[in-house]
Amino acid sequence: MSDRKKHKVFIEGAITPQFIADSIAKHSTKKNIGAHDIFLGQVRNDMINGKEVRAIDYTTYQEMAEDVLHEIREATFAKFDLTCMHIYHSVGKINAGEISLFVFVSSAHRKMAFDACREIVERIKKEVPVWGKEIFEDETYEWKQNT
Amino acid sequence: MTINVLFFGVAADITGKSKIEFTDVNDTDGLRKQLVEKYNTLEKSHFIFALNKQVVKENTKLSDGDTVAILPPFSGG
Repeated sequence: MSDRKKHKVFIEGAITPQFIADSIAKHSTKKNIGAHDIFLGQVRNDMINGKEVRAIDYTTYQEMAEDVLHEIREATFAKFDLTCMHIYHSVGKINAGEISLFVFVSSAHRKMAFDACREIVERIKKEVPVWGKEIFEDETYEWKQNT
Repeated sequence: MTINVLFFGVAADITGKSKIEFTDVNDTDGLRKQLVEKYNTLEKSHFIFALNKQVVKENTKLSDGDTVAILPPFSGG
């Protein structure tokens, strides 16, 4: 493991379009970048047994999640030739239509950026201890299951 | 000997607690047995253990001061 520091990933509440725009703008000074790839996870209004999901309330085992995310970051930097990488995940109640996951990778060329971004998102879904509680319009809820 | 057991997601709903201290348990199989005896529906949550923040799949010996987290299937993103 390198000594690259642990990064802040968890954000209370939704990830705003403005936050995403500001993140993109910050990269204009890094002129060796030729390709950005961005994944945005948005809360979907699934219908479950006739009831519509209004929001997802995300909780995490933060201490463990930060360790796992650190390992994903290190492994992805080792495997792909990337200039930079940013990962943000929401905690708390996120309404349908709002953004809860923001993965942003930059590289000299597109292939590295595409491949790295996909791998990070897949690993987050599978390995990071986060749980989503789907809240319906009548305030009842069900624990989300990733497909 | 004290083992700190943390509950997340549906497991915290089932137990009604986020943390319980266990004193009479030697390994993760033993802990699973005690948990399922106390909270019948916990087994249906398909939880896995993390011992001191590392997922453990095989039966693992526990030591004083260990933290064991009960992790239902993840659903982030």
